[in-house]
Amino acid sequence: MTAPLLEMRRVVKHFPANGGMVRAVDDVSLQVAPGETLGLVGESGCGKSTLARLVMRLFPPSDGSILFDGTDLTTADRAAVAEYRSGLQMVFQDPFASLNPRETIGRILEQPLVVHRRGGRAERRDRVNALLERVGLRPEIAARYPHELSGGQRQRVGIARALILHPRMIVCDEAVSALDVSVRAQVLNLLLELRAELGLAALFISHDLAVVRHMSDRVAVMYLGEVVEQADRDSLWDRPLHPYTRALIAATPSTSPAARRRERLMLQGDLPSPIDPPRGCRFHPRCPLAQPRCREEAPALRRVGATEVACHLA
Amino acid sequence: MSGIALTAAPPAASDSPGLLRRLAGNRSAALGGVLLALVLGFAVVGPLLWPGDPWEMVAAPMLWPGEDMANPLGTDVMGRDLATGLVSGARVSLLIGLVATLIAATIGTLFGALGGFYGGRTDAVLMRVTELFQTVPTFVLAVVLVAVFRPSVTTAVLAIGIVSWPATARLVRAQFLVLRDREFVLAAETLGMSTPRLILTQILPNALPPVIAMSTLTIAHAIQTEAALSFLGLGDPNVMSWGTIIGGGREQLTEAWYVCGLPGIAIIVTVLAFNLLGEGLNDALNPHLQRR
Amino acid sequence: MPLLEIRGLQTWFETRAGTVKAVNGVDLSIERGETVALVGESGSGKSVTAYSVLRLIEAAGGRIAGGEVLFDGTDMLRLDLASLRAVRGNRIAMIFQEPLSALNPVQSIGTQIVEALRLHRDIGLRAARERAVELLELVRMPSPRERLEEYPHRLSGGMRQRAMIAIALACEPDLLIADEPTTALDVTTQAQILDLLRELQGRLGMAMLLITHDLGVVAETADRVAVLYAGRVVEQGPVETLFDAPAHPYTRGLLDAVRIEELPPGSRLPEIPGMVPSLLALPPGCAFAPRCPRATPACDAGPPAMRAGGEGRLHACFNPWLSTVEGRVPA
Ligand SMILES: Nc1ncnc2c1ncn2[C@@H]1O[C@H](COP(=O)(O)OP(=O)(O)OP(=O)(O)O)[C@@H](O)[C@H]1O
Ligand SMILES: Nc1ncnc2c1ncn2[C@@H]1O[C@H](COP(=O)(O)OP(=O)(O)OP(=O)(O)O)[C@@H](O)[C@H]1O
Ligand SMILES: [Mg+2]
Ligand SMILES: [Mg+2]
Repeated sequence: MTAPLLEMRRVVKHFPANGGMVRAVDDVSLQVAPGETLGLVGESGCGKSTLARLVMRLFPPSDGSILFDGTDLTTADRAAVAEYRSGLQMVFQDPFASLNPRETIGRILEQPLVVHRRGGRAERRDRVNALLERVGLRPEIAARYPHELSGGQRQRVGIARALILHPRMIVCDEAVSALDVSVRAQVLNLLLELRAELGLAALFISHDLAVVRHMSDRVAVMYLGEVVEQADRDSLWDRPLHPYTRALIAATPSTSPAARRRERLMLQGDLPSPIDPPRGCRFHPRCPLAQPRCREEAPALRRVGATEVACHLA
Repeated sequence: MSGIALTAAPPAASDSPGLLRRLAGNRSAALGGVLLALVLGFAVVGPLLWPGDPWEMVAAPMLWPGEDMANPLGTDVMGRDLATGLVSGARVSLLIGLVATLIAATIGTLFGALGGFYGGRTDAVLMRVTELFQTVPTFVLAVVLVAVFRPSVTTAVLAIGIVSWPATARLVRAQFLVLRDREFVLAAETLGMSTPRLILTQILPNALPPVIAMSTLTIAHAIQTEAALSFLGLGDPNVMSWGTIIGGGREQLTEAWYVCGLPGIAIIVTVLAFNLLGEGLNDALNPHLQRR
Repeated sequence: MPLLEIRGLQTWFETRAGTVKAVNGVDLSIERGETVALVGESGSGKSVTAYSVLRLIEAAGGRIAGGEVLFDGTDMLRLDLASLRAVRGNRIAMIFQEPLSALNPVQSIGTQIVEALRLHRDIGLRAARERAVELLELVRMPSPRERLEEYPHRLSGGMRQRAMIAIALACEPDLLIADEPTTALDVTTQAQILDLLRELQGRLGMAMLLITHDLGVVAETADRVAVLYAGRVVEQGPVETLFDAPAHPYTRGLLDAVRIEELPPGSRLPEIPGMVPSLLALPPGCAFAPRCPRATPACDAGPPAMRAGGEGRLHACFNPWLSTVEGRVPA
C-alpha cells in the first residue's frame, strides 16, 4: 500500500464545557491514501466537523498527531504549515458564515491565488471565471457580495474557493447539502472528474448516505467521538458489522420520492451526552444486542475480514 | 421578532451604496451632517470673508455684534475681531479633533487588535496597560501632559490622543474576540494567509464600523478637551482657539457675555454635530438595528 | 379563505450590474394545517419568496415590486411596522436556511429562545427558561439544560439547526416557513423533527411552507408541491400525482437527476444540461426553454401562462408531458 496522504494517529480533542469536558473526538485513527475518498458518517454532534477542523489545523489536538504527506503538523514549523495549507482545503458546513461579508465573490475566490502568488491578474480572473462556470454559477456573480447570493450559490462559492488552488486533498463538510439534485449532480461530477484527472483525495462528510456511498472508496462510521467501524464502501453496505452502522443503513430514506413512503427502521433513544459518555461500549444503551459485557468493557477497534470494527459481538 | 430575525436577513454590507441612503434617512445623522457642514463651511469660507490675523487689534474693544459692520461679530476686550477669531478657532478645533482622534484610533486599534487576536498573555499585558490609562481621569492626565511638555498645538494633540485611546482599544478588542472565531476568518486561515494579512484584510474591515462611529464621538470629546485646555491657558499661545477666546473673555462675562457666548455656541454646535453623526453612524452600521 | 395567499409577487434587487428579478410573479396559497413544499433549482427564488412574506426583504436590500401577500386576509405588504412585528415570530415564524449566520453569535441559545418567547408572550424569565429547556428537548437537543448557556459556534451544525427550530416553534405559529430545516441533521433526527412538525400541525393546525431540496422529505411531508424556476412557479399540484407524472420538463429533469442510488457508485450523475438564465436579463419567453428538450420556437415568443391540468394540477408549459399518454412509469 502506498504511504497515506493524511494520517491521524490516536487523535483526541476535548472542549471545556460547563460541567466537564466535551469529548468531541476521542482516540481516532484514520488514513486517507492519495487520490482516495474517505466518507465520514455519523449522528449529528458525533464529532465530524471537529475532526475536519483538526485536519485543517484550525485548532491543535488535545492529544495524538496528524500527518499530512508525512509531515507532522502538530510540530511542524510555519513554512511547512503554509505549504501544507495550499495542498489541503476545506468546504465549511455553513457556507454564509465562512465567507467574508465585506468581500466580493470575485475577491474571495481570487484571494487564495494572491496569497500563494499564483498567476498574474488576468490569469487569476480567468481561473476564477472558469471555476465559477464549473460549479454552475454565472460570471456576473463575481461582482456580488455573499449576502446577495442564495444559499446554494454561496455553498458553490465555498467549493470553488476550496478547489481553486488545485489542492491534493479536500475536506468536504456537508458540502452539497444546500444544492438541488441537478446542481448537486453537477458538483459531484466535478469532484469525480478532478479525482480521475488530478488524483484529488477527499474526506467527505455528509448525512446523505446515498451521496456518501456514491462518492467514497472507503467509509468510516463515527459514534460519540469514536470511530466504530471502517471498511471499504461495498463491504460496509453489504455486510455492516457494527449494530450502529446497521441501524444507520436501515434508517436511510430513499432519495427517490416514489419509494419514500415506506416504513423504515429507526434507531431508538438519543445520542448520549458527550460530556458524560456511557461506560463500556458507548453505544450499549441504544444497542438492540447489548450484553452485560458491553456495559463494562469498551470494545477496541479490531479487524474482521476487510472491516475494522469496535464491537464485542461482531 | 427575536434576535434571530433581526440578524438573520443577510447583513447589508455597510460599504454598499445603501449606507449613505440609510444615513440620510436617519434623523440624528442627517441633522449632525447639516451642522457639521455649517461648521466646515465656516472654517473653509471664513478666511475669505474675514482675512487677517486674529491677534491683531483692529477696532475699539468690546464692540457688540452688529454695532459696526466692519466687525460683524464684535470685538473682544483687546479690540480683536471676533469673527476672525472664531474662524481661526474653527480650524484649530477641527484640526486638533481630527488628528488627536486619528492618534487615539491608531493606538487603540493596535492595542485592541493585538490583544483580541492573540489573547492569552499578550492580551493580559495590553489590557492592564489600557486599564491603567483608564483609571486616571483623562482631563487631569491631559493637563499634566501639556503642562510638562510646554503648551503647543502638537502637545495638545498628543495629550488628547493619548488620553482618548483606551475606549477604542476595548471596543476593538471585543470585536476581535468575536470575529477571531468566525468561520470566514478560519476559512481565510486555511488558505494559508499570514497573520498580518488575516488581521488587515479579514478581521479589521469587519471590526471597523463601530470604531468609526465611536471615533466621531472621540472627535467631539477632543474638541471639548482642547477648549478646556486653552481656557486654562494651556493651549498654544500662538494659536487663537475657541477656548482661548473664552478664557480671555471670562473677566468681562457680565458686560460682554458674547465674547464667551459666541465661541461657546460654536463649541456646542460642533460637539453636537459630531455626537449626532456618531449616533447615526452607530445605528446605520449596526446590522441589528437596520431592520427597524 | 386560505391562510396565506401570494398573488403575482415580484421581488427585485438593484445591483451595480442591474435589476436582479429574483421573484417574478409567484402565485401560491396555503390552507390552514396544510404543508406546501417549494422546490426548485438553487437560486430560483425560494428563500426570497419566504423573506418577502415576512417583509424581511428591505433589510436584505431588495424591494417588492408588485403583488400581494395576504395572510389571514390582511395584506402583509401594507401593514405598518408595529403590526408587522406582532405577526413576525408570533403568527408566522421562520426557520432560516443557514443556522450559524441566522443565530446571534454573541448570545447563548438559551437567551435567544427566551427572548423569542418574551417578545410575544407575557411570561416571566424563569418560566421562559423552563419553556426553553422544554423546547430544546422537543427538538431533540442532547442534554438541553446544559446547552442553554452554549453559544452558537460551540454547537455542532445539527444542534444549531435544532436550536433555530426551537426558536421558530417558541410561539406556536400559525404558519411556519421552514427553509431547508433538516440539511444538517442525520436521518434519525431528521425523521424525529419531521414527526414533531407533523404533530404540531395536527394539534395546532399549523400550516407550513417547506422549502427543501430533498424530494424524499417532500414526498413524506407535503400535501402539495410548487416547483419554482427562475422566479416563477412552473408547476404545482398534489404530491403524489405531481411526482408520479410531472408535466413540466424541468420537474421531470429534477426527478431524473434524483436517482443517485440506482446508479453504480462513482459513475457520472445525470444533470440538467445548461445553466439558469441570468436574472438580470430574463428571456422574453419561457425561462427554461434554452435547456428544454421539448422546446419549440413558440417557447421563445412569450411566457407560457399557467394552465390547469386536472386533479388540482397546474403547469406553465407549451409542451407539457401529458400524464395519460406519456406518463412517467412509477419507479
Ligand atoms: N468550539 C467548541 N467549543 C465547545 N464545544 C464544541 C466546539 N465545537 C464543537 N463542540 C462540541 O463537540 C461536539 C461535536 O461537534 P461537531 O461539530 O464535531 O459535530 P458534527 O459531527 O459535525 O455534527 P453535525 O452533523 O451536527 O454537524 C458537540 O457536542 C459540540 O457541541
Ligand atoms: N441581496 C441580493 N442582491 C442581489 N441578488 C440577490 C440578493 N439576494 C438574492 N439574490 C438573487 O436572487 C436569486 C434567488 O435567491 P434565493 O435566495 O431566493 O434562492 P433559493 O431558491 O433560496 O436558492 P437556494 O436553494 O440556493 O437557497 C438568486 O439568484 C440570488 O443570486
Ligand atoms: Mg458538523
Ligand atoms: Mg435559499
